[in-house]
Amino acid sequence: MLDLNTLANGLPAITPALGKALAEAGGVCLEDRGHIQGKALQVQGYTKNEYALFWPAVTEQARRCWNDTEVATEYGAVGIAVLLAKSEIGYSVIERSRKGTGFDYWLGNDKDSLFQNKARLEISGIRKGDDKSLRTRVNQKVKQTDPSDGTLPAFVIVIEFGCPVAEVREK
Amino acid sequence: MNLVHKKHNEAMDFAELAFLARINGNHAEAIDLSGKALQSELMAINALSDTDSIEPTYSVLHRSAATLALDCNNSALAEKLTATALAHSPPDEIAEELRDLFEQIHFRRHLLLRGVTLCEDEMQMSLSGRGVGYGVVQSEEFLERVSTASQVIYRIVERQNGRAFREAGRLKKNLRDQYEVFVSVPRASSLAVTLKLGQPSEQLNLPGVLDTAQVIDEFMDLMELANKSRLDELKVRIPDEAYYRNFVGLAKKIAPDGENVLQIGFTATRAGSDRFVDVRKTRSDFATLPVVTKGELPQFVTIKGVLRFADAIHGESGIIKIVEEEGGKSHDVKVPQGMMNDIVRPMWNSVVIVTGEKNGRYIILEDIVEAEELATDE
Repeated sequence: MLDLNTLANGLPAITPALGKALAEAGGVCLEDRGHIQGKALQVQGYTKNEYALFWPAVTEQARRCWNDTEVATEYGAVGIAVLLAKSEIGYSVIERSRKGTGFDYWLGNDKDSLFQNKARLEISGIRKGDDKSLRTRVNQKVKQTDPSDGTLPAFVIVIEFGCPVAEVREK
Repeated sequence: MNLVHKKHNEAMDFAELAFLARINGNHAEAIDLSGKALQSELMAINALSDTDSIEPTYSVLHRSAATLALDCNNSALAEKLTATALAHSPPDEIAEELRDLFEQIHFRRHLLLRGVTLCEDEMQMSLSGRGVGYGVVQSEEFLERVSTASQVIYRIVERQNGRAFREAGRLKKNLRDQYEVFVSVPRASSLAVTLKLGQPSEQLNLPGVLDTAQVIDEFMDLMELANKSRLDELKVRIPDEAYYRNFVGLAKKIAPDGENVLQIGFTATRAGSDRFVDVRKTRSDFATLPVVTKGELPQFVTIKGVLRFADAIHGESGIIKIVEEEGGKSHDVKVPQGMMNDIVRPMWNSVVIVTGEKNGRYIILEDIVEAEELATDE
């Protein structure tokens, strides 16, 4: 089971207020695609798994707040991905920094110094797509930088809300 | 937890609150909270010791602070922080992100009016990208967008005057005279020009007749909604299918190609404040804007060939023929209302790539681009 409601408790690098909002965004995206509570989320790539998804009740106010499709999809994907990072990769989101229109999330061990020995978590969301669009998005994310000396380790998680399906890859 | 860590966490907590305020429409509160986040992030940077200043910590903190400075509309500080981080030899991908941030900061500068005063019937259009130099631009990139922006404006005028969508023929002379778009001499910023709408004459300025400032406001609103993929709101603003389809097609023509032009900005002045619309969604991203916003996606086919034949006499939809260059196979494509005149016709005799839904012997047109243009996206 993957319960987005648990995000409201917060994570080491996500406040309860943002966690609640991420869960809301995820719910808006899932219901927009016609899903009901308990819908199976397929996980593929780095691991293979299936979770029953649960999310907070979507109110009209939540829909109004998340009426920007791109922002809702991006943050809804963040909500699901940070939970999957823990269950599928085994690391919590431990740090964050500000980047572009959102946040850059880092996975790892809390004992190390800020951003040291951490892997970046690159997250992307697709509101309505197919296998091809999922693969294309994953490949775009993975190809953003070619592996070379000094490249930071990273995991890529792309959430497609239509099926829904999550692709997890190590970069 | 050392001071750097503590101040950074404090900054990110404020940044999250700022994000939530913005989502809830509290923009003033969002800027105030972003300011607090920036102050905390700057304290974290100031607390960096020699041992803390290793990468990626140094560059990530600077990039984070620079983004917050941009959130607070402090472009100068954002520029300084970004440059400082780049000078510190950050890891490759952080360096790339810093360069992207630099482009955003510079474009913000270009959107500023720099002493130019805009009247209510004027807006500034700015372009930046590899095909745009300081005050010079590839003529095709510039002229096409000015012409397309004018088409959007004329369609707004027709729609708001309650006219049915004009599938063929020219804009009525009286409307063209009243709302004709004039272009200023280009300014060297990235490349910026003023688009001015002709003022309706006194005798026609009756209640219900569209004011030119309203036309510009509508233009800014629609471009902003399209750039943010707020399709439901776009559909509410343009309920007529033909006008909606036409706007999506024209907005895509205005959008950056992602190569020669990376950003297009529009600036208007209202009540002494400047309003910016910064279009960064590329043409290929606009292709994902579905005309049908509900229900399942149809099965699309894609064909490439020369646009050879256009028949616009079939009521609600016209027919075009796409002839494959090799083998000469011909495909009949139905063009829905709203697309023939402004979007398809300018591509006459060009090699195009058509995407559409197969329906019997026809393909129902969803998207059409010039093949050469698509090649630059690959």
